[in-house]
Amino acid sequence: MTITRRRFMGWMGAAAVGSLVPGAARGARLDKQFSGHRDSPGVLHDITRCIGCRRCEAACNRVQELGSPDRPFDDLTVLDQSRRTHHQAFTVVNRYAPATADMATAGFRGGNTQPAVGQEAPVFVKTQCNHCLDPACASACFVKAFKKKGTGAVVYDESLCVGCRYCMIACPFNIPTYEYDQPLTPRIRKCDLCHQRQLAGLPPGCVADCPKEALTFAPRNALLDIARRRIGEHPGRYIPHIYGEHEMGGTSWLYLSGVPFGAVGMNERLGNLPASAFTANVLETVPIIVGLWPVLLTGIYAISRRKDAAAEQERQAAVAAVAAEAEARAREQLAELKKTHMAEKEAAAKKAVEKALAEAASKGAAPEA
Amino acid sequence: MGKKRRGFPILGGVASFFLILGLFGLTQGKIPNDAEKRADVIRIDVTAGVADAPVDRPVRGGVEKQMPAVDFRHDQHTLALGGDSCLSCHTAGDDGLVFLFKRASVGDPETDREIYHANCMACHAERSAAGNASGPLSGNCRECHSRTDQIAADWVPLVFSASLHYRHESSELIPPAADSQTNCAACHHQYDVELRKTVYRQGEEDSCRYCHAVQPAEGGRLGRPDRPTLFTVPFSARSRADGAAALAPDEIDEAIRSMSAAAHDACVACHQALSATQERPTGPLDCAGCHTRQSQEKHRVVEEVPRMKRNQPDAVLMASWLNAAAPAPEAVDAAIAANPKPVPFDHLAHELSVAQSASCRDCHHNTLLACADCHTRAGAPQGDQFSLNQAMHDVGSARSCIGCHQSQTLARADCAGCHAAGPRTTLQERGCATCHAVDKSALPRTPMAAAERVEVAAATLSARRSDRASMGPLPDLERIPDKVRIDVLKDQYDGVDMPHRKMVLELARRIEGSGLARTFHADPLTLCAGCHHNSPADFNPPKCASCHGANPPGPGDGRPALMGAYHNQCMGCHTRMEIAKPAATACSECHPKRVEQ
Repeated sequence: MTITRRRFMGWMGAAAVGSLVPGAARGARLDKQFSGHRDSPGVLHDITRCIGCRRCEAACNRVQELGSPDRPFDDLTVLDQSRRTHHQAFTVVNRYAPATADMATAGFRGGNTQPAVGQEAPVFVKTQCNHCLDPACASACFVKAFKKKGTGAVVYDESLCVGCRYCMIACPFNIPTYEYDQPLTPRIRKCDLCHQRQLAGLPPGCVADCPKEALTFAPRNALLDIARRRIGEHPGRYIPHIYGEHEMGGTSWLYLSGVPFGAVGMNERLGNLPASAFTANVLETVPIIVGLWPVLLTGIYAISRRKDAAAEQERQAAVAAVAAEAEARAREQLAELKKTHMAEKEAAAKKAVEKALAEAASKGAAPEA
Repeated sequence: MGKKRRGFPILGGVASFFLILGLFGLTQGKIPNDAEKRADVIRIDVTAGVADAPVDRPVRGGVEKQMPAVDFRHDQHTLALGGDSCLSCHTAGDDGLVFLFKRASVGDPETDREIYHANCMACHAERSAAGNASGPLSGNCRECHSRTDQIAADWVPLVFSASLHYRHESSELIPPAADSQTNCAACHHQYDVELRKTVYRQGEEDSCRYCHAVQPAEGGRLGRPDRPTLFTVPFSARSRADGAAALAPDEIDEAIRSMSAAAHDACVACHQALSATQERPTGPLDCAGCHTRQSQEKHRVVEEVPRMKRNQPDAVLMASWLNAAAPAPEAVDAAIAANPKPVPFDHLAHELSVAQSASCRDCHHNTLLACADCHTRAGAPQGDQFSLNQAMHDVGSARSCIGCHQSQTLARADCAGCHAAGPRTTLQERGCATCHAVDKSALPRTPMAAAERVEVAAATLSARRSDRASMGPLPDLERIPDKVRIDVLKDQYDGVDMPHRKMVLELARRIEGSGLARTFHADPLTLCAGCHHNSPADFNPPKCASCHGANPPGPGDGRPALMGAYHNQCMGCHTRMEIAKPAATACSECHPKRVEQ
């Protein structure tokens, strides 16, 4: 089958229409949101209950075998500084002293205008991977080294990782960390919601060791019910918002707080769409480009080749026509010349004959005369 | 070398362009942080609230803009003008100064503007000519009409507390009215629709806000059955309702001054009049005197405010069904049986307790009507559709009985230890009888006379008071365990020897002085329920482990597992009752760490 211009334009038109169909949902993708595995577990962190004892950190260190820390876990002066996750600390507790004004304005509206006694300060918040339902790290990873499992865990496969650290940039919570001290076999390290322990029927290490039950491990749907009940049963104790219910499309870790989440270092401006919603539109054009680019280029090439060939043919035809015409004209001229020549020749011959005849006649007449 | 140098000015130019752009962006539409903060700023905008006021409009070749409004520093002017300050700008009306600039009432924008321009600049020019400091003169338009974000209004509302009320009520400077023992008439008045003027009626005083609303909507929502629904216009737009007396009832809504206008007219005019005749200092005359935190802290506070006199009862028998018309004789028993026991309400005790922190408005909104006048049994528009039952019992409202009691128990450290632990949304069953205490069978038949009702309520209350003069010694002290050992969970840490009896005694000691606690903890075993919740009060309550399962907590109803239950109960109570030691993270102060064998 040869590629004709008409056929090629047909393909391009079909491709253009095809690419417009999903484009009907403008901006972020809403039609393909992955809202987590059904009944997958999660953890509810009730910030009002946390006392900053760091036993969750100790438990994490023990069950994940992260090596002995620089400072022991019962050294609470560590809390004097703000910390983030580290390749040897998948979870950290930070202390905040939110302004009392924040509490008076935000969490204690309706009925009781005063902040609940004992909520003045300080406030402790545990930080770890939030195990997004539709994880940003996984959406950024081009080798699929991150997977959302049925245990709620977002797990990392180091055998696939190429070390690009896009996941660290993609994560809205700044969680994945990198083993910069391992020049040959660096890995991304982060909380895996104790995936292996879960498979063995155990709750995550931090949850098991929390003395205050500030961490509750249960199916995410049940956690949402528990959280809503706590908010409802204790008006004024909590901000009526469950952080993680919708943030970034929802996370397996959920948070309850008595102070605005922004006051305890949590980003309140993440929006309710998963990271993939922002990239899907762009990324899904990649296959189209990859698929259509060769077709397009081949088509353009074919058209241009065909055009060249046609031009050459035309040129040759024109040349041939010109040549033929010239030849014909030459032949005509030649024939005319020949004709003239022949005529001249004939005339000359005739003349010569006439002359000879005249000579012969005069010669004959003279003797006779 | 030369080439390199040329780069810097360009770079600098670009950088400063963006810098300026950035700064411009920041200042657009926001009060900058370094704006001058004043309590006395008054925005003079003659076009505010005027429907056909000139606005910025496009004209050929650009936009014809209106000058920005003027932010006027009132205290700066009174300070500069000294003794004769008020009359320099305000005219004297029949009942004192008119708090408008150089005019008796608000006119149309054109006229008002001319009044401002002529008088402001004339005074400035006069002072300038006399060699005094003066404000901008003619031609310097933008010195007054500068951008309106230069000054941030930084004032705090003045709460007319019980103490302030008493200081006015008892002031010798405010004389009693001619035919009265009290000086209430100096401020309190009501509009008489028939007489078409404001009159004072003793014993019917209301909060100013009953008529003078902050926002128009507020007046409407709290309209009362016997008066027309009252609306008002904001202070800024149309002030001074000096024509109120000549208005028809349907025009009253428009004429009533806003709370802000009325308060300034009444308070400042009175202070001003008194200061003219008195040697002694009177109330503040400047803005800052009332509207800054610093000045409010300096206001003298009367700690022991005597009771306000407004014909209020000491005791109220609360039961709206007692007002109902007498049912048919055969239906009397059924009518009584169908209704709740009346509540003997100790109005006096409540009055005294709110006097320390708040005012009548905490319960009575802006009126001093009885609850049932607006909150009918079925709910009515004047009660915002809150039924009487809701108005008394709504946990979410700080005005309802239950809501206020509960918020008190959460706000007071002595109470919060127990009361903030459990869910707050449900009422405990035995709580009903504490308030609903009057025996229905002993009541005379409905409708019950007011005097009779007060009598019954007072009798019930006095019986209760003598019952509960104090929490008294806890009964059967010997039956309260002295120490309780908690060691079912011991693992990394040893068990706890909990000083059980000491804790009970401490709880009892801390609520000893509280009338609220005395009334509602009539049964001393109530104290046990702070920890031994959800089970009937008893000397042998179920163990914690009976309901709270072992660790780690599994999915369930959200009930904490045993370790979480213990720690949250103990630490939560210690935090809420402000018991500093032991710290929540000092594990071994409660249970020693076990040494590895």
